[in-house]
Amino acid sequence: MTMPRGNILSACMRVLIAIFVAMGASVWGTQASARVQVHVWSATDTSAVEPFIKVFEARYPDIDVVYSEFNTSELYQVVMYNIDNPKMEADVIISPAMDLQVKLVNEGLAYRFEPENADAIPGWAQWRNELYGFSFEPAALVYNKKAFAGLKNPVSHTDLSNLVRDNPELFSGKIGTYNIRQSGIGYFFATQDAIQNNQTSRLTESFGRAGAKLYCCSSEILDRIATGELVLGYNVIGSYAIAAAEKNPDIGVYFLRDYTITMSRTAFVPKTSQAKYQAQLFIDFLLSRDGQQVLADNSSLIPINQNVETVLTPHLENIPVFRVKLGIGLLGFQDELKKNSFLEDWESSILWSGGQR
Amino acid sequence: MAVQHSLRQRLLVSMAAGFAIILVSIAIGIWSYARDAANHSYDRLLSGAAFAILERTLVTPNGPGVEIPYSALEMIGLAESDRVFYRIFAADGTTLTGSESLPVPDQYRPTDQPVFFDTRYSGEDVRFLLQGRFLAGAGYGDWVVVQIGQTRIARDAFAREMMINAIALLLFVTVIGLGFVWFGINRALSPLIGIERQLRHREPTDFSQILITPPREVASLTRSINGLILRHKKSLDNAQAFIADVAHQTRTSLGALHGLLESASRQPDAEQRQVRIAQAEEQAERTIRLTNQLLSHAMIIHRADNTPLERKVLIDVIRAVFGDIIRDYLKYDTDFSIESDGEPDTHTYVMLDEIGIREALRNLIDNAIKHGAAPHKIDIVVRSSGSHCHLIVDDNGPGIEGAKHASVLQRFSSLSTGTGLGLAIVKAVADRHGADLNLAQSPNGGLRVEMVFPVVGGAEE
Repeated sequence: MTMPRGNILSACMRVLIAIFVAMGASVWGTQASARVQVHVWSATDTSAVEPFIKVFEARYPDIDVVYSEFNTSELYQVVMYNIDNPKMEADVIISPAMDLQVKLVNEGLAYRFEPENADAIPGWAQWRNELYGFSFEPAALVYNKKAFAGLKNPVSHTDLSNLVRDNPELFSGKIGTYNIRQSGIGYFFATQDAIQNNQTSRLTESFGRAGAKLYCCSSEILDRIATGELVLGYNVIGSYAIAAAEKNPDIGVYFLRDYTITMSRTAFVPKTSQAKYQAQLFIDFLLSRDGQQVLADNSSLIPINQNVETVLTPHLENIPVFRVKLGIGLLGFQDELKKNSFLEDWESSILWSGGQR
Repeated sequence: MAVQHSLRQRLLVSMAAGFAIILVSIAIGIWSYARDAANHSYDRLLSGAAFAILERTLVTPNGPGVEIPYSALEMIGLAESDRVFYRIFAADGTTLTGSESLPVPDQYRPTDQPVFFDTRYSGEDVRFLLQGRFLAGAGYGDWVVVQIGQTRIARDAFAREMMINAIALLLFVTVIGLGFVWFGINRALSPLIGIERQLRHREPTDFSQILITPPREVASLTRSINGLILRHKKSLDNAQAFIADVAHQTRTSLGALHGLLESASRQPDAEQRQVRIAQAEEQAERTIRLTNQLLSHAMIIHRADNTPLERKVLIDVIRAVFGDIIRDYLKYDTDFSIESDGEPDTHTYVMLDEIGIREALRNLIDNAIKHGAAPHKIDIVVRSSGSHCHLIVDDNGPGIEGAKHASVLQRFSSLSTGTGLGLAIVKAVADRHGADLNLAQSPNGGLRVEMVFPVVGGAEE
């Protein structure tokens, strides 16, 4: 069978065109359907950030947030261990332990960028255009209201140590605080206490005498306060405490009046990130007015933007907040020798009379 | 015409170039100064931190130890955006605490003096400090060294800011300086502009001097312009006088001719009429001669402005010219002689206008024949004397008194019946050649006319 010449040519053309169309479609297809994953490694309760992530994903439908929760120290160690590993999956790293975050950034791990909304963040909560703080979290005293009934609220840290000393039967075995060897944020609060207050060791000793119990996380302390297993929780992250108190009327939250250490949860994009642009979008939205409002309305985290009304706003007038500034100064207590001696001192105080790890 | 230059532009460009060179060299100086100053300031932070840390080194039962004071790192943290690295190590290189991988120069030996160096570390430029302390006690005695590194961000920003401020100031001063230069240039050039304005607004008939007190630099220019104006005025005056003279002479001459013809036509007596007509013919001849001479004179003047002189041998030219004009004089009883006293082989060159020489010679011969009585004797002599070449024409006419020598060279100053232009033409030719013209008594009893030409180029060929 013979075919007219023109037909053969046009048939070839048709095949070629079909191939091109198919190639084009596959290219466009992958572009259209490509959902970029942003891996967020964070030392934050998943429940606290979930609402924010949902709003973010709704706003950027092409981005999938893969959230992994860590303990502050674990997170630091994992990231530090992978310092040179280009395959590290993390795109955003979030932790409340400002000193550990500064240490990571000081190692040169962070990618530098300027979020559009960086101006709304106060200077103490950002560093080198690499590390950005987005929350405002005072360290709180948490107490069981029933057990505390009739007691006068302590004004200062010294009052608190006197209170514990004067009521051994009430507090014995019923004080909870961080095990600062395990918890980065606990260590951070403890060291900031040591810097702020030279009476801190006395407070630690009084906790030790009262047989204080040590926990890894704020949530464990809060749970036990709620049940009455613990009476007092010291240096609990304020945002979690307020959230817990809202759920459980037995939990009281109190801020000491001499000083209240206030930290900001910070985020950075590691240089090894494979989705830097999307990671930047994530942080930018976290800092934006809208994102901050989402934190205030839908999550237990307290936004750093002072123009956003939060559960903390009514307290702020009374709380003498001591804002911990991001910077090289935070490396002081991260020195290995210093850390070891600090931990040894602390442990010898808190474990003074049969305290439990 | 060559490309026009602007004095103002030249001055401004050279001043701007000068300023630019100064600016660049100062900028280089400032940059190194700013860098030093920045290092100096921030090195003190590092030194302070190192002292604070070294103060807290101590010998423990387990060997040397250190407790980094919180304030030390806070102090370095005053450079807000900079990363900081530190390491405290013993003399044998064992790290007590800090980053083990910090670079130490090979030749470093522990000393209690701070040692600074810059190097690349962790992807950034880092300034390092090394400072030691000798620790002794409890069976230990050796150096402990603290090393602190700080990225250069704050230093570079500090140096850059100093640099930018200084350059901004320099640029400001430069602009002001150039402004002064511009002002100065305009002030300096204002006399020139004044001269220009005076000349431009001048009526064509205004030949007054430029009235301005010029600065020294343009005084000679002003003098030259004034001289030019003066010469121009004189030459214009001359031309006007000449035109007036010509008009007068022509009118008089034609008037006389007309008068003679009229009287001839009214004369009833045939013989008398014949006499009048002869007179009229004579007058017509004189008028023609006058017209010829006027044209000749005008031509000489015109050639002086337009035709360049040519380098020639005078005697050759005289012979050639004489050959041309001798035919006109064959009817007169005249004895001509031409002689040259130069060696036949040596040629003395003079810059000459052949036509001018011909006119001069023709007028001299005319004069001799006209004023003298036959038989005429005219001797033409060319004589060279070193740097000059003399053309001498002697006749045997009545001659001219010495007192009148100057005046006969003027136009229309005939002593008797002449047009008064002959010697004026000779004078014009002499002037045209830059030659001296002397009148004297001829050995033949008549007038001697001598033209002295400057010789050019020496002997040749």
